[in-house]
Amino acid sequence: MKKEEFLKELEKELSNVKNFKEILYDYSEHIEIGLKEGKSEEEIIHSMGNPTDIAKQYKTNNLIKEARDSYSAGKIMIAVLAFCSLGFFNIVFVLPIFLTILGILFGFWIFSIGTLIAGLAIILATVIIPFFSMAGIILGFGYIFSVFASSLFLGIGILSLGVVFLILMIVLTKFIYDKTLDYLAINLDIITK
Amino acid sequence: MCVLALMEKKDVYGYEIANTISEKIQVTSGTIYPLLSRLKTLGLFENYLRESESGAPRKYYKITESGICHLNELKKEWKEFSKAVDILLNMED
Repeated sequence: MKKEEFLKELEKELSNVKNFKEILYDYSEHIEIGLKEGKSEEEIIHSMGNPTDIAKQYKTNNLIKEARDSYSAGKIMIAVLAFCSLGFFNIVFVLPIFLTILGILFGFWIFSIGTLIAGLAIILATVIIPFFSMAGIILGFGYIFSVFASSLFLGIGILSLGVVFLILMIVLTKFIYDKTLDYLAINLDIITK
Repeated sequence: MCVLALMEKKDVYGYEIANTISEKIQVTSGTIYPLLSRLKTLGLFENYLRESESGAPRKYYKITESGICHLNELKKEWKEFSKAVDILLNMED
């Protein structure tokens, strides 16, 4: 492959990367210096590797950076998928682990939201039911009040538990989000030395 | 780590980094540049342009304070790691 061909291909692959001009400049400078040192065009281009792979590296870089700048479920998914497209190892090992963690996290979320709803439902039921039941008249108001109070406390207890779970979940999710990005960045550096 | 170590000795340009590293380690020189751009976003080094003997300006890479800190950290980790591996390899039961 010739210099022009290589750069053109790289440009095409980098079309949606912000600083693609600077990247192309780096590569054309690299080729120029190589030529001056007496290497052949083919030799230099060959040692560079495949433009598609190079572009993937830059894209993954940018996606990880974007995901770091704003917390977004979509962005981290895209970053992980871009990372996985870099190599076979990533698809086989990283993706399943990531999806498992995601699944567990999702389960915990459902659990804490469920707890929250259960707490709310108990409180609501405690407040509303006495108005609609004849129990008060039959069992006496003293008895109803004690049931009412314990039921209310139960509801408040479960509700606060739900809130605590939810807060823990937010912290945990953020933590996993950051760690995932750190992990991707470290791996990228290992892959590319 | 290798990239930063090269910069610590003197300011280098991209081709120099790619060439020196790909001579020693089997890595395509094309992958050095994405790595450089990633390290740059971490603020480990700066770029500047300097005219070369042969005319065209070259992009030079200059390590920053935080780059040196980071490098020392990495060196320490690497030494500990390689020492541990050496011990394990030479262990006799």
